[in-house]
Amino acid sequence: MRIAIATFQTQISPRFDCANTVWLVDLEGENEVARTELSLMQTPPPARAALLRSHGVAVLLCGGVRRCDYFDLLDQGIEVIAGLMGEAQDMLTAYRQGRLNPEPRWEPGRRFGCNARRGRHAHGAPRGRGPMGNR
Amino acid sequence: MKEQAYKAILDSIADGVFTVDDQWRITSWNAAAEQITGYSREEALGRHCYEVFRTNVCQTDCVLRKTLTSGKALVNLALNILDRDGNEKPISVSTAALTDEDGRIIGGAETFRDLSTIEALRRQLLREYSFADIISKNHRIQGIFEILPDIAESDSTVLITGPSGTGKELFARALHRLSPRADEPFVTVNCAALPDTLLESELFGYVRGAFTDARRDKPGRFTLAQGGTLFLDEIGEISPAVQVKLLRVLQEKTFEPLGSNTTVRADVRILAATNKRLAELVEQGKFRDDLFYRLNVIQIDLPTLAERREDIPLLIEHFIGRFNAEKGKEIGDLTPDALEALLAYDWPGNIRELENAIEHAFVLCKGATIDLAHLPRQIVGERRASGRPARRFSSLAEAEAAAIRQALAAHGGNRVRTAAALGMHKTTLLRKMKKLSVTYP
Repeated sequence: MRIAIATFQTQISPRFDCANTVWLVDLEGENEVARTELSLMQTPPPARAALLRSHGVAVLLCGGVRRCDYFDLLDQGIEVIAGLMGEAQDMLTAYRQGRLNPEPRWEPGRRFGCNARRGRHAHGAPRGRGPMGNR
Repeated sequence: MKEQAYKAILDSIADGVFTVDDQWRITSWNAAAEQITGYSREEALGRHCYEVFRTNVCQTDCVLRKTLTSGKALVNLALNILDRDGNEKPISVSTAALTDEDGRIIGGAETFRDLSTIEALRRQLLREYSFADIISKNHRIQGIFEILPDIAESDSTVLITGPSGTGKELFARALHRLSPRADEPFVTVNCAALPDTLLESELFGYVRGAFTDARRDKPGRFTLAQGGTLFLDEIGEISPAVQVKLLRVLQEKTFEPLGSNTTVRADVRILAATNKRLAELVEQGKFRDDLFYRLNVIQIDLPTLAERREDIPLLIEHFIGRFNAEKGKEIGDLTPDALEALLAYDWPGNIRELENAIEHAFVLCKGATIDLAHLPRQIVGERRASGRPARRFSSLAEAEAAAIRQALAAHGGNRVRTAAALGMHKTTLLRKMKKLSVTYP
């Protein structure tokens, strides 16, 4: 399976639409078997979901994702784990170990905002938090 | 106690405020920052600023880095942030460096204001000032907006006049779209682009054998526009021979394709446009008076962009929005210097030149704000050549006040002439002077 991690220097990129690079990481089970870097500098945000799909990406790890980009990614069949912060390598390790769990966003009838989240339980993920609840 | 007092003061401010240390780690985060970003103080403290204050320039053109590097404060930069829920919010940002007792930079402070409401109002205003894809708050254009539906409803010939680049084709398209012929073709012919013989065959078409290379029938633009509208641009350029043939179509609503004996009925509405003064061409004998009167049933005279300067910010916003969508960029605004330069320029090429200037800026601008350096040389160059000091306006209101003061001085304080020069009604001028505290020179 191939996952993409939007990066900013060595960290998770705070915004997918503004990220300049993604790591493309091939996993077999928990093992990383290959890693390449893909530049997004020449790809405008509306075209990024399709670009990732064309590279066979199944899951995207990133910081913030705009709603429009989130739905584009879903349309391309890419699972999104957003709201992450910190070192990209740490997030990759946490994902391989099954410690990052996607949660649905913007479901009809669901309330979003600070107050809607404050009551949630922590998942124990390293420094990950935000709209996906990975905190 | 002192720290609690600082916190209370920060929390009483309506703008978001946060501070960072020299490692970009957040050291304070006020209540408004919590509300605007969706991140609580507990979540934000100790994090890198770009992790919770996610602007569109953090990864490429960090404004706080600029301030910490140069020591200079930045004021009211238009950016956007992604809040915790993935909503983009327009904000204005100001930065300042924090120094210790020895003047060494130890961190930075950033204040930001949520412009979502203002942006919504701006969009609403833009919609209010838009009519059939034409944007203007100029009183002359607003006057045209009022009568445009009635003109469109009639089937009369319309002559649209105005210098090059003032949007004559846009008005022609609007007339077609608002007319009962809207579902039929809109066909354009640029009369200046074709030599005389070609223009005739282009307008009326030809049949096989009409001339050496006519191997098959070719329909003309009149035929293609049947039931719809034919827009004859640069009508002042057509030769006397074509003028005669066009006059016949307008008078009798019929024409014959080249080489044909069959008369074709033309169910076409004619809209014509020119950047020349046709009445003067008539006086000089270069344009038939009978054709002129046939074309000039209704005349729409468009002002130059210099005569409708108040529209420049609206048009800039419109072009920025369009180019953002076309080019996949996210440019938010202009710096006050760049806006001032665009407001001060005379725009001989009118709206087309403004559109080109914004497109030029889009090519050069890698960040989120268009600056002077991104504008074409002739615009910035003229500004320098004018010898005026490079003033900084912190807002559009200030730039507007300066433009009014300058125009008042140029017209000896005459209110009517100043209003005419600025392209606004005298009562609008008075209202703006009062609002902006501008006094007579």
